[in-house]
Amino acid sequence: MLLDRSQFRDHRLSQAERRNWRFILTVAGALLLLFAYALPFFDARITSATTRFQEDPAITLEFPFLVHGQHITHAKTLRNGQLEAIDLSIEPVASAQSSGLSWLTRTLTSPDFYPVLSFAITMVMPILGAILALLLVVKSWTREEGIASGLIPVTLTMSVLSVGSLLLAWCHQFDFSTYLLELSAGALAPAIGFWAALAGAVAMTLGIWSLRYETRRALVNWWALAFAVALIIWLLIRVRPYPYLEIWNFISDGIVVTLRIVLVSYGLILLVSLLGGLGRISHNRIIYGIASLYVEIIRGIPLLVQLLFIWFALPSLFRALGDVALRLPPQFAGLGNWLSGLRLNEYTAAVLGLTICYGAYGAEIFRAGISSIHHGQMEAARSLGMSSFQAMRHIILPQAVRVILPPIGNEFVALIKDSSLVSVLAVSDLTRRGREYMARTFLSFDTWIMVALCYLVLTLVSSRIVEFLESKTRFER
Amino acid sequence: MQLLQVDNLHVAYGAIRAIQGISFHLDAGEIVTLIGANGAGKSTTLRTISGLLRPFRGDILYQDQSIVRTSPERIVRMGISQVPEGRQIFSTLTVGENLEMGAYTRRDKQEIEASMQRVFKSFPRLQERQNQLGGTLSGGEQQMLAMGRGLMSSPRLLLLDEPSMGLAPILVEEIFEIIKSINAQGTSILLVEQNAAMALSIADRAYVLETGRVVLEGDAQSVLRNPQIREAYLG
Repeated sequence: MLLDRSQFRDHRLSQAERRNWRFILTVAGALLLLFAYALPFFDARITSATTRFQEDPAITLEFPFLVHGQHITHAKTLRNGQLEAIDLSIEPVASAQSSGLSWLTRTLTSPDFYPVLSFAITMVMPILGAILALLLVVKSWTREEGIASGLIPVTLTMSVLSVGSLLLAWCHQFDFSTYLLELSAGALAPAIGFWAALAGAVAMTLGIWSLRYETRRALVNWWALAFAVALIIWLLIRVRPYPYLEIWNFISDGIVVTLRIVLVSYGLILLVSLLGGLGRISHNRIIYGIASLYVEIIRGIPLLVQLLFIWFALPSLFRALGDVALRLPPQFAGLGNWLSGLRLNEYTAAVLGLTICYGAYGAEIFRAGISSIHHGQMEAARSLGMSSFQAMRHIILPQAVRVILPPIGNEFVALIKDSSLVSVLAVSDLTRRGREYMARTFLSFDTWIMVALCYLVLTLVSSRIVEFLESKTRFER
Repeated sequence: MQLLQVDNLHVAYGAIRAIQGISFHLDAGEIVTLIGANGAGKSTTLRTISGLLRPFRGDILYQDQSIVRTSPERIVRMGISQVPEGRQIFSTLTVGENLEMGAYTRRDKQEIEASMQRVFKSFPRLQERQNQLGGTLSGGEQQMLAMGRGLMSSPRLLLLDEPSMGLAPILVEEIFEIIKSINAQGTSILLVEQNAAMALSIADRAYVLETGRVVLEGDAQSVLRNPQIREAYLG
């Protein structure tokens, strides 16, 4: 189909334009979706499941509302006995109780709200999407400036999420385990309202998608992506508690360790970078030489090798130095004993390694940032009576920070990723916890998808924060 | 009375000899101009006087005191202030803050305020834009700000490095009028310029520099009438 790319822009829409198929499709889809919530969504539900094992006694679980929660018990018992059968009790829901709206209100008013929160979200999301779509069309019809193009990205995101949410709402009724899926998928088939809502959501999405050229803004909002990844983690945990809840419980303390190491080393890195950067522009040849040597040597050695050196080689170096000190006159004995006994714990070694390595790269960033400020600024400050230290502090560094911030912020994101290397030092960070879990259970795919998603959330969020800081300090030069 | 005396000054950047034996002097209350082509050593001379460069031979006497081994900040305190080439205002600070930076060596709040008012009297436009960021000023206003900043330390001697650079002719005239009025209020001025005609029109005396040497000196009017100078610099 041909699209005139500036069709609805910058003018009040005429009658004919208001009846354009794109708007009609969007409105029809949104209204159909909202209407479908009054129709029966799900006709039946599981009330209980009895699991029978060869040796152990049968386990019966009651499901007052939705199926979730059985899997942990199920999985844990499975290790002992052989699963023989699962019996499901499925009960039809009175037709007044089976509408989408009724499912939603029952969820929201459920006394045990938290376990069904994810179901509530999947049921609310399509409604929000439809309301946004209606808002978009109504605003476009009534505004002087024509189409409300600012709303298009968020509405598009929401309508795509609506389709996904509806499917997830269905999945919430039964468990993803092969047994239960086979048993319950037939019995818990969705009713007319569900299909109508799905059709409405798809139509709405297509309608808004066809309007995408009316905005120049990016269709993917990166905050939304970070949020979506976090949501995926959470849904994985909720929908497939086994193994994802277990993985999550196992690796979540690793996230804390990773964050702690990253934050502590980043603070130190900033300090080392500043000193290194100042050393690299120093006119004192000794300081310049030391700083350059540090930068060139450290940047020439892989981070992994540096970490291994600090962890494995440094203690023996200390010991050798201690032995030397012990052979000296007795007044050095204290020093010798201290050196021989010196042990870095794994966190110190990790922070030290990351700081030394990233400090070298940071020093170059600081050097470049400081050099990018015209040297005349330094001379101007000096000829106003500042010493070079004062000029650096009051004039050069405040300006250089704006140049330095974007690359040093990216270093933070890179540091989060490279911190995974400290897992070789027996630091229980995110990566190491993932490896430990995999070694226990051999669930390689599930473990690493979880670890990867956790890193992705961390990096996406911190990139957004860095971008925000950049926009705050941007200026014309 | 001689305020500044430069005696057989030699300055080098590494192996490159920028100044090869310049001598001149400046009496209290005078406007003296150094004119010459690119690379003649004019700016180098100014930067050496304000202490940013060290000569390898020769001497600079300020009020009969050698200042070639004195640090730039000390020289500012002694009463020499430089307005650098290319203005070099601090673009991320406001106009007011730029001026305050000019008074960096001074501590007395009231005196600083008085200097600020004097600057605003010479440059009313700076007062209007007091809270604007330095980087958002026009070229002429930036030059005024740089000069105002230089005056904030209440110098006895003001070193001006190419104040007309990159400015429209009408603004150049305005700037030179202001230079004259600053001089009339008692500040001696050493002016480095490429715009020889303009500089000579307000100066008392002039030195013509060529490849690091003084090739001609005299009072401004006689330099202006010198046929070689007319040909070389005035067209």
